[in-house]
Amino acid sequence: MTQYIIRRLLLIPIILFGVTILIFGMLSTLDPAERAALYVHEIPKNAQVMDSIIRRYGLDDPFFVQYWRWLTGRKDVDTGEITGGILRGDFGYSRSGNTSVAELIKRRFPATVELVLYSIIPLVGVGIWLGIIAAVNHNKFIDQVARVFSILGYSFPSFVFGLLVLMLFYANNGWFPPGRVADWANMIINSPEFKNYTSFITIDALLNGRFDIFLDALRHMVLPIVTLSYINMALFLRVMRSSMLESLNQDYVVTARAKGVREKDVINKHARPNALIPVVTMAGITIATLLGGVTITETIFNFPGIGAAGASAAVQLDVITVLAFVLLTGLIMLISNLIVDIMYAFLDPRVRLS
Amino acid sequence: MADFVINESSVSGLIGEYTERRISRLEKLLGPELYHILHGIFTNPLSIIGFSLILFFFLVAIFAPQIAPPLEGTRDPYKILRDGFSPYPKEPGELWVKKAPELPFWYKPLTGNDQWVHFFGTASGGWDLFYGVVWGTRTAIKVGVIIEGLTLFLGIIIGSLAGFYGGALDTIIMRITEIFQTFPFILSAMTLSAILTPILGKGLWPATIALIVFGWMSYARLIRGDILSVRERDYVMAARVVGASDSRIMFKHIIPNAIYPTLVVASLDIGIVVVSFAALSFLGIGTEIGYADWGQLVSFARDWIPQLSRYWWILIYPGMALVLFVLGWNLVGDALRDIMDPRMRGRGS
Repeated sequence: MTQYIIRRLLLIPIILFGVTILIFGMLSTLDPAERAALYVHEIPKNAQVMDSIIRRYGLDDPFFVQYWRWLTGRKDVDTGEITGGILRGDFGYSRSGNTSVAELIKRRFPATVELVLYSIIPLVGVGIWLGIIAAVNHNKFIDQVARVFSILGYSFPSFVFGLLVLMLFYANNGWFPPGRVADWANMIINSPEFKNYTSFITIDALLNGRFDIFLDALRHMVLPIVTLSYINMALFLRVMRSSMLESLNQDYVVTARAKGVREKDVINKHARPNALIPVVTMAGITIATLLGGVTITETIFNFPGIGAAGASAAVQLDVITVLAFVLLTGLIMLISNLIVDIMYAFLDPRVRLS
Repeated sequence: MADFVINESSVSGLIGEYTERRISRLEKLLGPELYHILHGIFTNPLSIIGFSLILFFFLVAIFAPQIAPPLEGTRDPYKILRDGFSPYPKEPGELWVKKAPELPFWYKPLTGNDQWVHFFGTASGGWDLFYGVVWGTRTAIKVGVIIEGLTLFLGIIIGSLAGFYGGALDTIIMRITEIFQTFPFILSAMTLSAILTPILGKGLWPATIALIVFGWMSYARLIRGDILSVRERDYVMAARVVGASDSRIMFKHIIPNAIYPTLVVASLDIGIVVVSFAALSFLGIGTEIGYADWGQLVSFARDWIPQLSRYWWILIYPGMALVLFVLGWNLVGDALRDIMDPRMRGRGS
């Protein structure tokens, strides 16, 4: 067990090295003049000034020299000032976001995290619930209905489903508008009286005692949450269903039934806990995937998270910004995979005790 | 030993059962594994619906020039026809005013009308949605088959090298696979297309290449696993003993016996590939404006979000094409996964 965790931890630097090399490899395909944005905030139009910048920051240097500089930054010989360096949290300047990439992440990332955390509750909850119902009624009518419902959700591209719910619940009646908060709420949030504790608007609103803003923020999140839950639910339903089916056929469930335990208790106390193990691990991975994959949903609902920023950067061919986002979400993926694997080992008695 | 008595009656029962089962000619022809799968697929109502949907889209793609004829003498039929440049969408059924294409042969007998109308209406800018959806079917299938085929090819090559040679090469390849899996799929594909677009120009290729580069990993892992188990079989050993070369063993003995599950999974991923491609072109990465592509047609609806209940056709027709296409593949895929899942076997499926 400990050995397993240590081995996993040792792999992380290797993978990180590979990921950064690949990302830097993609960066290297850019014109040196474009890569100047890694170090300089104002890109000059003048070709001569640009040449001096390219020389100064060594944007023509060999690959690994540049790679190292990209990781650690460039120290100015005269002033001792360090610029760039992703290890220092400096990802350069974002042309599409009109600010430094780090600032863009700081501003946009909390919105994405908030949306994903709210979405994961109905997504996992309803997925598990439907999965259990389907398994208990295996091959009966309800099972088929749950199945068709989930396959249909799985078949909906997020942008089609998102626009569809916008058509039904916004264009018709204005119930759930896109965006993050209404204009009036935005003005209050940006005013000095409103204290920013966590950057999660719903929590900040409650801490500031503004229940109206809390409700407004929730109202704006309803449609993206519905979209993210529905199109991702199929997987949970499927895994829960098959793991519950397996669990219902185990000897300990048969024993419980033979002892005369009520069917409700058989399902809730004997079959369900073990059937939940694969779903719990999947939930962890889903959170990580969503953090890197809500690009399209955010774009449709005009939700100012990191995904929408990434999409607009990619459309404007602002590669430096998107690659920083790729690196960030890749890192989250890596860490959450590790956590999930360790958690899995703890949850499963067969692994824990070996 | 006493508690390990073979029950004779049960054995003879088994044998009796086996000889009694009639093996149809079809099963003999296909082999038990393929027969089991095909039998499962064609007796499950959901997967039959799925197959019909897929078949329907293939027919639309094949007969696209007859269903929605392009303008005569056009060089690029994939360019959606437009009726003027009006900024306001036209309703379904409105008459075609400017530069209507020639009527197809089926039009007059079927509608009794001798003027071409916009069946599905138009988007703003006069883009005809019917033309776009019909020719978009060709794009979808083309893109799906090309991307899936090349992704699979790449995955099989990489996975086979790892599985066949094992050892250090296997470790290195599997680490590289893990590195690629760390990348968020859509975001990375978006980035790579953004990098490739200035190099290759707008069109199908930047998004196609990007989706292949970040899509091969699951196939590589799948085929590697199957090769690892096939590699130990007796017939491979026999081939080695008679002195067959590495490449002969690989291509004649191992791959044909290990490739099957990977092929099945891959063929059903076409739906997912088409959605990913459509997502990229929906965002505006990929094809040029006006190229017959479902993702782009749906993106026309983005300009009208507050008025979508009035201009519903811009979203509904191309959106429906996309959903039904993917649904077809997923229905078959879902049935297939149940059939191939050993835990589900023998439960009357």
